[in-house]
Amino acid sequence: MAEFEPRIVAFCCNWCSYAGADLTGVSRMQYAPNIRIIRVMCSGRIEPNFILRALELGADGVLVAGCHIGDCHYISGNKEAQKQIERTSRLLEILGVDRRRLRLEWISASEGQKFANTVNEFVNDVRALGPAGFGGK
Amino acid sequence: MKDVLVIGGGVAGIQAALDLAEKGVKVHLVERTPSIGGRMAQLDKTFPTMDCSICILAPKMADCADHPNITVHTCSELTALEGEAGKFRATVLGHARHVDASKCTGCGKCVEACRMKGRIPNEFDFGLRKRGAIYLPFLQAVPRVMNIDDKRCLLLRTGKCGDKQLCKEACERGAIDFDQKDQTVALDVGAVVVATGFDIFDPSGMFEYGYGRFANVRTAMEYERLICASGPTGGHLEVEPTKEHPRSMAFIQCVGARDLRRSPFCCSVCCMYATKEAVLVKEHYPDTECTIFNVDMRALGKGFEEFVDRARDEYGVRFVRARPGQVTEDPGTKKLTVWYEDPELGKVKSMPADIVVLATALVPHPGTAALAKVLGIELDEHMFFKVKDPLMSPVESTRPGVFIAGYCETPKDIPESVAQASGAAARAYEVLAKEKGGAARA
Amino acid sequence: MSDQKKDPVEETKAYYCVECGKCTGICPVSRGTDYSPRRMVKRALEEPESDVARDPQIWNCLTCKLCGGVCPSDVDYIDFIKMVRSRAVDQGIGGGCSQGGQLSTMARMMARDGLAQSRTSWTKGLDVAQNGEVMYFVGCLPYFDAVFDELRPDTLDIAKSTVKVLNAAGIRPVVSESERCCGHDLLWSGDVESFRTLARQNIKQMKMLGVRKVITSCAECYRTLSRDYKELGADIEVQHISQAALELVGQGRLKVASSDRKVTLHDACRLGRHSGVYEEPREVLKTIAQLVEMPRNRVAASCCGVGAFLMCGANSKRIQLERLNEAGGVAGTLVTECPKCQIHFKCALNDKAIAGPKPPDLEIVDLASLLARSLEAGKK
Repeated sequence: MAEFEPRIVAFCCNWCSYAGADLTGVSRMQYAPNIRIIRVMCSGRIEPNFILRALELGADGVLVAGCHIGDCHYISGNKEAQKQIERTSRLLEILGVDRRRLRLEWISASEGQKFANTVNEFVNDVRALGPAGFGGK
Repeated sequence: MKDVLVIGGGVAGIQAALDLAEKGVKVHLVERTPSIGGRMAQLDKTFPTMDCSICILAPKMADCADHPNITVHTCSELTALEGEAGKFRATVLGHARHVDASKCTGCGKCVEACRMKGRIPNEFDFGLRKRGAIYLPFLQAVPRVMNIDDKRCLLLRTGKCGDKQLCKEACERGAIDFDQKDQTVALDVGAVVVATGFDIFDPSGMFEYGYGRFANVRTAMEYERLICASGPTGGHLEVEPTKEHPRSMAFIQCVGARDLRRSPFCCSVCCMYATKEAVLVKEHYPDTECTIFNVDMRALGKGFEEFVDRARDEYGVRFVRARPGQVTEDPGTKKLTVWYEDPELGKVKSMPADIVVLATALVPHPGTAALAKVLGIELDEHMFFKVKDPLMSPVESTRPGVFIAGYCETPKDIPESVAQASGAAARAYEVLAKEKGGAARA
Repeated sequence: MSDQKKDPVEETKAYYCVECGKCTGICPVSRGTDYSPRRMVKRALEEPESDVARDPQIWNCLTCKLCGGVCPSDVDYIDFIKMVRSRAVDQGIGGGCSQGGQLSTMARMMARDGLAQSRTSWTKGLDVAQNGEVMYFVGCLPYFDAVFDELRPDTLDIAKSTVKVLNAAGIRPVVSESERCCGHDLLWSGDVESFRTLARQNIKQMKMLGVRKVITSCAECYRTLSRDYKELGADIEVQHISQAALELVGQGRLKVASSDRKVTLHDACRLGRHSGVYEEPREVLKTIAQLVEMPRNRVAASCCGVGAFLMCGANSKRIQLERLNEAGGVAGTLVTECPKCQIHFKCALNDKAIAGPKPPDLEIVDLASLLARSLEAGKK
């Protein structure tokens, strides 16, 4: 019987976390292959529907990565991201989706190791939760 | 030769009565309201000739009153019709008008004296003028005998009219009789002609037009009374509340007609009368913009299309092919805006209007079903009287000896109503002639 | 998959259209844009090959049914649009769901079997049942509370108020953890299949819990449950909270306190023109406040500017502003019978970007909330 392998979608902001992920790769650090990275200009761009659609289309977990507070290239975009993620978490809770399937992390361009650790941790967490079960369309 | 009963004192009934009377037949002309004349008496001018309507009708009304062969029964209705063609017995109930017709000269002193004077919206002007409890329906009423509205007269309703009845006191002939009773007469007639005309659809239920809520939205018949020189405003169109004359008018056609949820049929006369009404506005106020909103222009009779062309080319009446979706009112100025879809651009447009005239549907009277039952004749699905054969026998009803004329059979204009009335009169005469020489033919 | 055999023109008798344009003349969307219902029908009738389903303007319709109130040919335009939209969805075309599309995504996600929602925490302190004959259908109120938190429409207050009112009359309504979105928005956006899935699940749930009567505080749920669910075999009596409350007041089971407060009522399209319910909300409102009518009321009522959360934009705001000023002109409180109307009006009232004066002191409150407050007052 094949073991369940979660599918994760990661939204990474262009200036910090995407560069950080790049560094992970360049440094040849290993991280779980379950992840699909989507680059956005700012974590503040992420709105609830992106996360919901990811889940609806078959993702088991969604990771949102942005700059540290105070370091956002657009000044306050990551604060917006915080608000949206909190709102989405509440929605997921009502919907009966485990909050732990959505994770917000601040990863700077130099934190290649952090990126790898975060991904690996998150994949494990979601694997333990099992499939989100929305099937995908 | 037997008599003929004509029900309905409008132009069709009047024509049928006169035709028969001229042939030597005794006619009983029965009219529900206090005067004959009907709708034609309420119009200002008639299309396409622009004749003054009451001017050409009143002589005929007077002829009916004077003709030795015609007995006019007003305030009356048919309550039973037994027998068969050639040998009917009709029962006619005459409601008391509480005035002795043999004594009343129509001088009008009682009307002036009435305690209720100026308090009751009158029927003839659609409530635009007020009358008293004792009244004459309109200036040219026939018979020229006063009436008391027993539902509004203080004495008849409450038993007391102040300390004395002012009308009785004013009358120098002692014609007022509060004890007068309803009277039923039995008439032996050979044939019946039914010419009961139509009622006006009330557009208050059509929220989109604002009738009843917006002071400057009128029905076409109300407009006729307003533009008429003998009407409530002396022929002046007044925009509320300033009473100035309108600078822009909108005529909306097919209100409640050609409407699958109300009257699906076409009323036949509205395209023409709206054109006429717009021309009248232009004659009174040449600078006023007049726009007629219609879907079709049904100008079928002789000279009708030319009349419409004249309205457009000589008088500058605008015709827009659209049915307005809404009339809105500015709560401050009371000015109206008409919202419609421009048929060429396919976009919504608005047009300011000081007065909006609704060409409301003209529908069978509410009492038609009951009358049909009394007459023993059938109605069609729209409550018009059914004819025996719409193609070859358009004046015979479904009961032999009973004939139909005018709008109550199907929508038609004045010339058509008059023609059909003469046709019904001729067919009625046929019944009498057969009956007279009947024994020989059998 | 829409029923391919059902042609929008045939089903709605759109062929009776005489192209008079009355619909366009009264349409609130046409006032602000070049949208024309008449043109839509004309295109479907005269150019079937051009496929009106591909026209982006089919998504502009509010489905408010003002057109249906005036059409002389009795064409059911909003049903026509609904069916055309479902054809569009079959071709992969969708409308612009506002709020980024999250609401329709959530509704679709709710259709999943085996979903374990956590949506009844608001019932704490209230008397509700797990099963029984009378159900309070909450709808998406818990979700709206999360999505629109910045507007503070307090949709959960509507839910709590409804239960409070029912409790006060001695009714213990069923509030189910497995209740799903009624599917209204999906149905009107053309996603008929998802709607049917949601509907079947709700109907199955109701049967399982022994529900015979459903009370709802949302006009859209009301229309959907009482009409669209019936077509799918639901055998339930449906009441809006205003109807239920009026009945209970009449039976003496509900005691409310009246007040001098001047209020005006906004007729929700789904309760009014769609379902013909005009008088009961007014009768019950009159027992708790002084009702003053706006000029456009009952069948003539304006829409709240957005239908099925589609295509919210400048024209919607214009419609909302007009209505808010109309309300402000007659009373200090605008009462809504549908949580979505409330959300849309509050959004417009709080929107700093819209040009134009707004009635500054207008309070917007739901009928159920007002009823619950009058219970408190009665107790004092």
